[in-house]
Amino acid sequence: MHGGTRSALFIRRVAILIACVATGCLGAAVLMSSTGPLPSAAADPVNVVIGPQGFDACVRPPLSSMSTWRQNSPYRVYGLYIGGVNQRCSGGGTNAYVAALHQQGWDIIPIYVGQQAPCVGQPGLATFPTDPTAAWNAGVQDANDAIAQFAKAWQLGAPPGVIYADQEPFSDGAFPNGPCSVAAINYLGAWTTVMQNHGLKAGVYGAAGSTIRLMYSYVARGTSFRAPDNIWIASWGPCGPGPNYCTYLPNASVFDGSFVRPYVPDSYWFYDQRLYQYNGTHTETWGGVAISIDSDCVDGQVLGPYAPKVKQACANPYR
Amino acid sequence: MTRRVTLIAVVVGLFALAGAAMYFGGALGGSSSRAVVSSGVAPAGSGSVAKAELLDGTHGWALGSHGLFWTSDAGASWSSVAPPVPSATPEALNGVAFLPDGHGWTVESESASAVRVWRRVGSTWMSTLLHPPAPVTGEYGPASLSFVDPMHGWFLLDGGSHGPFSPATLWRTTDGGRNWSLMSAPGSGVLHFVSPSLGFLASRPNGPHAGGLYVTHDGGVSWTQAPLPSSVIVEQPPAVAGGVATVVAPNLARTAASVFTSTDDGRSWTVTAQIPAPSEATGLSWTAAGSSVELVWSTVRGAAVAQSANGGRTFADRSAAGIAQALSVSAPDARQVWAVSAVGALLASDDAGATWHRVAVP
Repeated sequence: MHGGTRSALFIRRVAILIACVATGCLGAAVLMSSTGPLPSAAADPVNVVIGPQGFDACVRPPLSSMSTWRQNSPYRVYGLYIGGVNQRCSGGGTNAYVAALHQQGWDIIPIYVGQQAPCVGQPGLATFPTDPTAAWNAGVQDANDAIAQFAKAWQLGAPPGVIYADQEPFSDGAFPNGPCSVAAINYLGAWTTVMQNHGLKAGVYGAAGSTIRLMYSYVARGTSFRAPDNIWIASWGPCGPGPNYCTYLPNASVFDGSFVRPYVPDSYWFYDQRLYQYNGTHTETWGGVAISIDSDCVDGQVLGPYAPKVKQACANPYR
Repeated sequence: MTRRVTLIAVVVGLFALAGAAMYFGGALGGSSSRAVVSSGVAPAGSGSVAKAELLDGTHGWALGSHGLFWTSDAGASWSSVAPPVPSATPEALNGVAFLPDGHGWTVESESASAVRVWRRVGSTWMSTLLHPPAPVTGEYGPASLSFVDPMHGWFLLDGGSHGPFSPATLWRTTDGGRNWSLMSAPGSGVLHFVSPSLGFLASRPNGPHAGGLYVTHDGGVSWTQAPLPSSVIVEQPPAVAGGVATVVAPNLARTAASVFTSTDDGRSWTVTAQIPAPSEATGLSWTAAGSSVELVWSTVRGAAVAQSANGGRTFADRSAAGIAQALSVSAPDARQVWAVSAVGALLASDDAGATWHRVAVP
């Protein structure tokens, strides 16, 4: 299930009401359980954060810098690269670093940079094959490795958890049904399947115009694609002409009307299931400490202690 | 063509709260007096400065909220040198480079698939339209321009750096910017060419080459990674003077920095000094002019300064009580320094940082 649409929710609620009246609510319970899992912060061990901002940084900042930012910046969530064949950021997810970040009060987005689409827009990256079965197997392989890296960093023998696969922008002339797109959707479907079968939540990071749009198209058409629990949309438009001159945007939204909505309607991944990278690499300074970061709106599933009681600016405005 | 002997330091992580007096203690020139930077309300008519550079003792440029300006008297007076673009502001002009003789270049993003490189000859601006590969997420990143003379220059355009990815395209001109040829680049970063053949690229702090230093000996056709330890981050290209290249690089944890020098055009490097960082250091900026090397650490409690007068072999601590702020620093010699602050002020020192005064930019 992709996360539900608002109209589908209304229909379910009406059906539940009718079933409840007709059957004394036993039928309603069956109907509710048959509509698939909706995120529930109370029951879900993965923390759902409703709208704070976060950042990801390739070069792992020193803990002293993170502490200063935790006290002085508006950011509450940190994207940490934990592994993958195309992950060449420094530091990685060591257990000591992860533990220290949580102790400082950070939520963390575990990011895995595995094999990329065969038509990825950057040279020199390891890619999965175009053959759909081989692409699926690559997704399984990467997902299993990601779980192992995650367990190492968080020293967990078992879930809970959420891991986001980083799928870089790609260009397929026959989008969304060309061989590259089909391979990519198989890889992503495998990623989600393995994650969910292990009891983890699945997330996928990708450019709005390729990865995200691809997944939306397969969900909207009612295909058998097993959609991730969360999407992390990369679309840097809100910053204006070039990320060189963009910094923290307090009013960024995971439902940005100009740079997100054209690629994935609001009703998809609707229930606090979105992250939004609205700015590429730039330097910000908080509390006298400068860090090179990418900026993110976080209204979805992450890991850690920070759980805002009040909905933050990035959150779903409809809920 | 004469090239400035000293290179410009890129300040990392020096910011201070606006509205408070700034202190830059431990003068870069050797004085132990406390440096006071006037950081009050900007003189009337001053715009907010995003970038500026002092090229020699008198010539410099500044890009700010009111446009692009040139000075021939170290900032006492300014003239507008903006290209004929709709808005000559930091939001519109991505990358600026000037030579002391007034030749200048800047980059304007035309669309998500084209950039326009402007060149200034005399008082006239002309442009060339380039079509780099489409940026990975729809927006081009920062541009880095480097010219060694009015004819030979390079333009590195970030193709959308994010996370572990640092795509970039490199162009070279041998006719002052009329025509550009596509070169190769190991990734995005900050360029500095010393001659038509010798150049350096300090990688952006992300991507597979984060913190690496790259060298070309053929004008950008090919690059090799400088054999520096992977435990350090090279955040700015080397300063080159008298055939000696100097680079200062902190370690990942910012607990120490190493000074490396090369006498063979960057092919091999020698550790000249290793300097422990002050407690809770969060960033390092440095500048080199001739045999003078100055380190300015930023920490959670303020700045700490160390200075070398022998090319980085030994350092002496300087007092640096208080907080210093700068986004970028340019120092054509050991005495004159310009710094652009995080609050958009251009600050100048004539005594190697012992004292500072604010420079009004239109």
